[in-house]
Amino acid sequence: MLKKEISDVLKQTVFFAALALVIPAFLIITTIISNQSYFSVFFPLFQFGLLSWAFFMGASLFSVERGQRGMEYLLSLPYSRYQIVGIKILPRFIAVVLFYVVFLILYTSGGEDLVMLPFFSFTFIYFSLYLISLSLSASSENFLVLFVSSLFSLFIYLNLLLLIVGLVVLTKGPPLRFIDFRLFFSKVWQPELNVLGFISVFVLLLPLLVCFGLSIKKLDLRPAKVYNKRFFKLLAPIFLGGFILSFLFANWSVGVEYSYFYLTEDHKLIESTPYSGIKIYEGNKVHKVKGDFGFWWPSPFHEKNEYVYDRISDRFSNKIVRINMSDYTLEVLYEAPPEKYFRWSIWIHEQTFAFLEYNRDHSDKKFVLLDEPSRKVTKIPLDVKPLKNHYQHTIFGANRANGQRFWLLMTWRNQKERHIFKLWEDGKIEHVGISVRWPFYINGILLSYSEDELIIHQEKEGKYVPVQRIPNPEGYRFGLSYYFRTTLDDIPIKKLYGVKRITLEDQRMGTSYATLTLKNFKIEGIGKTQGRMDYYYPDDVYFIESDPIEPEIRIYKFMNGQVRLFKTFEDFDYKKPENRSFWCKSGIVLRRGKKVKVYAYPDLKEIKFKKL
Amino acid sequence: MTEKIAEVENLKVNIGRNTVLDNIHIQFQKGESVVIAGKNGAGKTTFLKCLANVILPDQGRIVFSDKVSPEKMGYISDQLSLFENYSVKQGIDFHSSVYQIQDFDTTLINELKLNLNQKIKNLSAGERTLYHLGLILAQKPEILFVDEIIHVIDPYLREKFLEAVIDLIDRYKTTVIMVNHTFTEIEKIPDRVLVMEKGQFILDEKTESLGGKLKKVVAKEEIPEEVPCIFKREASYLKEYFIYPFDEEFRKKFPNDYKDINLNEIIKAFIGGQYVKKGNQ
Repeated sequence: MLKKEISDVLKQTVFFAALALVIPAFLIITTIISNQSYFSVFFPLFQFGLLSWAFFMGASLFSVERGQRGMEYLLSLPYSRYQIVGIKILPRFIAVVLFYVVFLILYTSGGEDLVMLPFFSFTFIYFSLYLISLSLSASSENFLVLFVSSLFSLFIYLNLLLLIVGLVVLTKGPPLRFIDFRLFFSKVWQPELNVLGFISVFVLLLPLLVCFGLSIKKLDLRPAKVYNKRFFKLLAPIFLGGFILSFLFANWSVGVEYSYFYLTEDHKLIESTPYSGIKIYEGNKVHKVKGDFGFWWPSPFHEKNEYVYDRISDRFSNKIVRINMSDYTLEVLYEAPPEKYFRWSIWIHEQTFAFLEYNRDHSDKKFVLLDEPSRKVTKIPLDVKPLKNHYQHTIFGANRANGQRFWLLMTWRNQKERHIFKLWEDGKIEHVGISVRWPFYINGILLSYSEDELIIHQEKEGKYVPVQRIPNPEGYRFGLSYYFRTTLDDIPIKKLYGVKRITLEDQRMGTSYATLTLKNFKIEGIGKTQGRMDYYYPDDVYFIESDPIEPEIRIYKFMNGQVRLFKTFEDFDYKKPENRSFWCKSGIVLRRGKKVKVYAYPDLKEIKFKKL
Repeated sequence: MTEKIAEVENLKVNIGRNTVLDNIHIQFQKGESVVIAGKNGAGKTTFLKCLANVILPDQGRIVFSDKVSPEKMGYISDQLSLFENYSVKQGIDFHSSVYQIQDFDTTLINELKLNLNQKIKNLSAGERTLYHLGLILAQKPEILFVDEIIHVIDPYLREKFLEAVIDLIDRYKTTVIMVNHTFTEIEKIPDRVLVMEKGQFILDEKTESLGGKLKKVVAKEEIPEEVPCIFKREASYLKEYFIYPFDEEFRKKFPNDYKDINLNEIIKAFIGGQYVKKGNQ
């Protein structure tokens, strides 16, 4: 009998494959579709066909026998119902998997840009549709009814998954805000789908499969309504069980979607949660920021007056925003055009925000200048080599010369070969040089590196001329922390701090620190920690050590010419997903599960927020 | 000595809200040939489909003797169900492989002079019936179920079919359970007659004793109420009374001309009686 089933499936496979190959050819030959390659017509149609195939392979379990008046003969054969169904499922399942493998091969051989649905969504819907239509295969003799009921069930299934996501978020994290059907059709892997976990996704399909398994045991020649009565009688309790089980798995597999924090200079605490928006804690009060802006991971790049500036980037848009901390409103200063992105590297100079904007493959890269007061946007194309071929870039300084402003941009493909460019306001682009480490620019002085030297450049007639080469055999890299990369306009800096840490191995061995006095360019070693230096402060400098062995965080401070232990936060295992530390310009926020504690510089005393 | 080959216990089948088979208990013996009759919708076909494992009971069970493995059961449905896209040859190959038949006896199929490459769907009803019987004969079945198909076969093939069935009974002591309305041409076959009504058996008699238990009286007058009449038919001024169960004592107590009738008329009387009963309800 297996031979018969293989033969039936083979015939169907040949028919399907022929159809999939011929239709695109027909569309091209008849010029219904023109100016496109065969593959670009074939692959999208093939994917659509595959979904039909998945449905057909599931729903057609008994279609051949029904079509040939052979159902009675089939059921009278000396096999149990399970044997019959097993023999029928096996070749169909193999066919479903084989065609999926064909899809994978085509997908990885140039089909990536021709996908009808995103890869994950396609895979998920392909196999779900197969299992759903298989589960419903005996519920009707009418193929159209099976088709409609399978699609409807798939729709219900996807929405039940969303409901489970929502319930998990409600149970473990902040309240549900936006989750909708679109996430299954997004081009990128969605965290909400990660949240579910594969087990949870599969378990929700189980009730249908289990009911099918239990009902098929009693499949006979009576009308489908007799079978369906049994099927749905079983489905009600099993579905409830499956739903609860799926929820439990989802709940168990998901990392808690906790809040993210930022402490402002005037000691207000910003809290952002994936679905419930933004709150601002201020002493005993809490305020909700008005507006609908999607998820925001607060990591402001600038604070000025009552404003905190940040970038919001979600799957729908990239924006530069500012929060007004006095009236708790959020204002969009700039929104990137569709399919355009920009990085965290936003440099502020004389009220102008400078950043790079590009499309997914970096073929269209622009230098954008946003004048904050007027909101005027200037875009300068960056199509010079090697800049246009580099995917990594950071703006690290700005200044004014000859009545015109310029910005310094570092780009690289190879970490040991960082190219420095000078981008002028009028669109002119100059290649300044190459550094093996991250360069730095302050007060007209440019620091770059060779393998074992720190090179000091000074501006002379618009050029950077090396004026001093300082041996740097330790390979220290001097600069400021992330929090000061955005503007140096108002910060009086006398010393830079350097770190010798390039690889993870170095980090485990310990990190050495040094200072560079800007007056005489003298390098002095100041100490060592086990962890990493996460934060520089212009006056007081703190070094944060996340111990990979002991579950604690140690804060070191540069005091009396040395790095000394300043404070220890015990019982903080940063490897646990519910624990997270937020290093802000003005302090440290430690989250242990739902407990949040805030410590402010310079003495790291705890700040209490009553409603937190 | 009789040998039990199948026992049906407490069998119940519902279709929707209708109870089609209602609490049936019955046994079948090895080598006996049974004909099940009854009016349309009585449950005969459903009962046969239950025996053939095509319909699974909602309640009760059917226990076959250890000798009756699933490979030793044959079923010819009233729909003449086969994989009709198969050719005659493919059908034989498939049946041989499923029923693990080593030496397929094609005698009956050869007599039909079929083209082996001909599709089963292109066979006539008669050819298809005999072809299916040929497939089953190759199994050397212990038990054969045949659902109301005799009337769709032409007289020549019908005779061949019946000969083959009789041969099967003689050679292998196969138990044959047939559903049929008319007994005209199969009168020689049944050892036992069952009549169904509303999902239950209302008559279960050996054929040889049935003639003595059912008599017909043709009279102008009404017969006494003490004489059990299952069916009364009025033809002009005469009335036909079918008496069941007949007792020889009736001849003395209620003298009448109690006539013997053939099997076909007996079954007609039972079925007719059910229609009359239904009309009176």
